[in-house]
Amino acid sequence: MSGELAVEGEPLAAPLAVVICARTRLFRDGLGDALEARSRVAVVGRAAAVADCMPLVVRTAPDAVLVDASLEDAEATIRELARLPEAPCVVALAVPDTEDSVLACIEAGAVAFVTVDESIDDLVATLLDLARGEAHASPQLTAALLRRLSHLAARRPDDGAGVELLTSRELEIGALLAEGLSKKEIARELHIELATVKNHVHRILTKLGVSRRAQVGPRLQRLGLPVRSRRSA
Amino acid sequence: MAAALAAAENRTIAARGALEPIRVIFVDMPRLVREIVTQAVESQEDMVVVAAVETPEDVLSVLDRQQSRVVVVDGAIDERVVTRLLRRTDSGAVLTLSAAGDGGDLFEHVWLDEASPTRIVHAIRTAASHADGDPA
Repeated sequence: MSGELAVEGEPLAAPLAVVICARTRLFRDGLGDALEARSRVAVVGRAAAVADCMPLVVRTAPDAVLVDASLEDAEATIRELARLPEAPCVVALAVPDTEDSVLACIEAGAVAFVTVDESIDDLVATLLDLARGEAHASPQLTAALLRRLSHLAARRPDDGAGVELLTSRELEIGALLAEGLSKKEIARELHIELATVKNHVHRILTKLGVSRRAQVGPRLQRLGLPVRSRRSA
Repeated sequence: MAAALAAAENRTIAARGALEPIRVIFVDMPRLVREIVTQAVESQEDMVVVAAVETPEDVLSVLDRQQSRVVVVDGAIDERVVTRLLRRTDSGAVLTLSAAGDGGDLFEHVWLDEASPTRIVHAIRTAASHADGDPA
């Protein structure tokens, strides 16, 4: 369910619950009020900083979080939100209209974006599209996304034959394993049961074709996935 | 004190509303920001947005036609352009909005970070009052 607002094709039963995380008060107040005026969106929380945003999101469990792209740590915020156990859809807000800016937000975990030159109605339409399981992108951005996907796929080694694709959750846990975290630490970090972590780890080892957790990091690196070590930091 | 100031501002609003509204022009503002500010401005009885133009060159032609007293521009705009605007709006005021930068010698500069819609509306009203030679 992570990152999904509703089942595709089903009508929306209730207004979309949205949290706004924006440094700019104009977005928190003005945009918040403008969205509230639309009957299909309910603003359930407004935060000026990441430190306030996370507890707010956990407490209100919104359908979507709008993250102001002008926040200094916008990408880290998006990444952190996307890693929550019941992650809401993250929409990057007021993104500069450049390919790099948009791709950076998407790679961090945003499922949609609205540029500074789009309208409030465009933002609402984006949220409603997400609720229907849809997303729209310009032909230029679609091309950029395909190029990026192709580039990532090309970095996958030939010796990966037989290796199934890991799910996003398995990738997440695999990255934490590669950072040197124990299963217990991963369970604590992701707020999930230890038994669940054990199941994921078993599947990760199987899919990567390795027998020990220590082999996960090097294997992920050979697959072209970013791995960092927390232990040596 | 705050109540007295609010009452004074309300009297100003009422008096101005009975005369003519503050005519506001937006220049080179990102659409998302412009729409939010427009919503705040148009909820005021004594203000009206008469134009939104994309380039400073456009505003020069619109200025005379619209007889605007307050021009609101994005703070990222070239300061030389703002200086030209200030010369052209000798009976008006230029208000700049930005997330960062230096307001320099502009009439009024509002940092967007902590500016609520109400604060921006107040700044426009203050700018218009100064333009009228009637400091609020």
